[in-house]
Amino acid sequence: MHRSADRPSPSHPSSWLRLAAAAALLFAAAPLLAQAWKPSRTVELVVFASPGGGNDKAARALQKIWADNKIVDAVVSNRVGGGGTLAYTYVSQKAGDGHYIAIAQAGVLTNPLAGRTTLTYNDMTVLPYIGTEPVSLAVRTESPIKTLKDFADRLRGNPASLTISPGSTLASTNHFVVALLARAVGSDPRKLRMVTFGGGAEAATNVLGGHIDAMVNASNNAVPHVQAGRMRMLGIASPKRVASLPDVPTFRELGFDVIQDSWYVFLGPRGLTQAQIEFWDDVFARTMKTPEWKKFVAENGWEYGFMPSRETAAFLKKEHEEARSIMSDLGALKAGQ
Amino acid sequence: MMDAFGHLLGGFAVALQPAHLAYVFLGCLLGTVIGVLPGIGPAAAIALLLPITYGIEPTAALIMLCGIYYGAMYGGSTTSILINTPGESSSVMTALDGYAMARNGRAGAALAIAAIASFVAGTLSVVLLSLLAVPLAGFALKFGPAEYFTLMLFAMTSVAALTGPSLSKGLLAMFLGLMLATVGIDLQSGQQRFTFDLPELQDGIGFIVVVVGLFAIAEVFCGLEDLLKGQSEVVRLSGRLWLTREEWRRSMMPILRGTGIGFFKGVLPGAGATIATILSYSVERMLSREKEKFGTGMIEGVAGPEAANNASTGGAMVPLLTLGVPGSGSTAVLLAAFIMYGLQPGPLLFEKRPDLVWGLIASMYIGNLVLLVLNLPLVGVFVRLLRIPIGLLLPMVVSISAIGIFAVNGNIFELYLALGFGVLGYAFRKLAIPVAPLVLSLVLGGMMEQSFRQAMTISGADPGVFVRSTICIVLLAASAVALSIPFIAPLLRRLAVRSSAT
Repeated sequence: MHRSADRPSPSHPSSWLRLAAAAALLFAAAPLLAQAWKPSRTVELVVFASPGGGNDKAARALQKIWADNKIVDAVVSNRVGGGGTLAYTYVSQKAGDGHYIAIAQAGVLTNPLAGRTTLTYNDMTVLPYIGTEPVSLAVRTESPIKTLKDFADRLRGNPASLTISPGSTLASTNHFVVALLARAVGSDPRKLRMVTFGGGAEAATNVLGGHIDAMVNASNNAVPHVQAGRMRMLGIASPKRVASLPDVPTFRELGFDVIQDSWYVFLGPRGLTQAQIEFWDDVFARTMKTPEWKKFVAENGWEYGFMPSRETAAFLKKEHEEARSIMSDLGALKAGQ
Repeated sequence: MMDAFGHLLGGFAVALQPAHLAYVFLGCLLGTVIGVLPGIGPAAAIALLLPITYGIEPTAALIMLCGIYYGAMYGGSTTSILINTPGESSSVMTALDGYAMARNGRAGAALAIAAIASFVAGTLSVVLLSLLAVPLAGFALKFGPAEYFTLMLFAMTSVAALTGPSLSKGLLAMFLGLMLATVGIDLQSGQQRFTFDLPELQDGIGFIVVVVGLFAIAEVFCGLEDLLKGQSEVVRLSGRLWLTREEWRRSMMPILRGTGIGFFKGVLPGAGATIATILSYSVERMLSREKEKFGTGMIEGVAGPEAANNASTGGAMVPLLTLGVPGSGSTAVLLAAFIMYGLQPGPLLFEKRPDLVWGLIASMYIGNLVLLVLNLPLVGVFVRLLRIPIGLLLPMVVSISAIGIFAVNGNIFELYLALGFGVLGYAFRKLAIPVAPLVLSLVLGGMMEQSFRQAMTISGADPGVFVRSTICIVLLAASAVALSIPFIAPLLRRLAVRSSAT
């Protein structure tokens, strides 16, 4: 910045003027240079749920916060299919372009492990972690299973004695919760009797009707029924009790070392520059601090959490290893993965 | 019951406030538009509007969102009747005789009876909702996988009745539909089936894609062929636009039966509306003296299913309001709307916010009236679509269809898929293979297989699970009766003839 001032002093006044203008321009550009990258057009926020579905809701909340606070100009685009694979593939193909980001959940790890796609998170740039939903185990009120211990005892003797729904996907983090529990009591997780339904709501209907014994999924599937006195939560698989469910014990405090969250992270195309990553780190750090986001977290039973990109990458690596180990136990691992 | 009446009066006091009336109207208008356009269904529309309704007072917002939901059922029949393109799975049955009526010059009558059937059924189902919501609350929960399987089995027997003149061709279409239903990641095992490593196929073949291909695109191919051969027939309107006395008479009972079927199917979570239309159509066909005429423009085949799909919306509100259990994509989004406003549907909601619940129910009476007033004059507008020269109409159908498909998942692959099904549909048309059995077995097949396997997993592979509940036994018996009628009926007739001869 000072180099221009060091130049041979200009004699003509108009040159002075030009120099002053140039200096002013440079000063104006200074904050830009420090931040280095910002979107030059509308950002595409890609979700793999259809409008109104789980992660679509979060994306639309983010988009609204960004618009209201003039943080980023974004549109939500729904690319539904393949348990997220279509959305991830779409974004991964925009190599080096920071205008595309995708919301991702555990499927990005489990899909390639199960052999459903060859695209892994290593083919993308990891962006921040934005929070998690606690995963709960619930039975209907009439169930003879009163506590997590009752549940574990049933699994110990005979893992096939209970019918359990993990929602709509096998070898998902929901399924992992029961698998880890079975492993903890020395039962074979492959013998578990898992029933999948079209989604969490359908699983809840079947629990309420007494057609299956229990369901394990994001806690907001059970919360309304618990409040209405029709369901009982046996525990949550979070590391510690959560603000939205202060009365529900964790698996860990009940003596079972089972921790599984339903987390949300963002991924960008491969080959994003450090400057682009820093831009998104900054955007999410600011977003997480807004009262609107805190309200979204509270209303949807999420757990507040934020990790910048670098920490998120380490987190995904750890989760990936754990998923591989559990899926191997479940026999759900594709050969060679 | 008197209690319900009192609450309802209170509800009308809420619903008749000018602001609420405006929201009813807005919701119904949006619903009609969404229903008319294929592709974008009520679920996506409500989801997209949710953020906008943030600032509005909950009762008003829910009145509007529900208006979109039942309003969309009204509009769904329009494209089925005029251009043979069902926008939702629940209007496939309407296309069968509705489009045939249009070709016979009775498009106006078909559109009019669809609107009237929708109004009568919509209103009666709200009456049933007002009276039975609380007593019926637990009914939806009685249906587990075993009960659903037997229900699907019963619905499949009705599909068998749609095979048309050639049994083997009908079965061919039906089996093709069942095979297509297996494409995608299998829910119960997590394994991929027939996906050829294409991520686009992992979620199976979308219903809308198949319907738009087989009906709309195939129709365009046929139109193109006629145009090239220079023999395109112009659909003329014959007789008066309005219903004849005869058409009125024939429609009354189908509407009432369709309402009953639709309401009770709607109460059950799952593919309520679609199954209701299938059952209503086959009931009308079964009761008719001119069975063989179905598919050639029988007004009963439009009145019954249109009543059934509208009545199912009232039914679907029962588990939603009383249990917080959504039965379909649309009601799931409505549930999300309730929760967004901090309202948890359930018995407590009836106690805590009677103004809201009964205001909403009352608004549905008004909404149905609004929809009738809105839709009847539109009949005159819509039939004019038929006067659009075929060279302009065909590209319009293609672009509306393409937008409809792309808007759902944002997926180009599905456009090619729809084109492929268009070619298949054209071939079917040339070979006189009916398409309805394919479409319906695609809808039913997936659910039937999954509920069968869910039930078998739950029972530990004991088939006895299918005869353990009264509901299962009744449905199995009904399926057996439905399947044996074609064999028994001629025997009975012969017996009757013989006894009268002696």
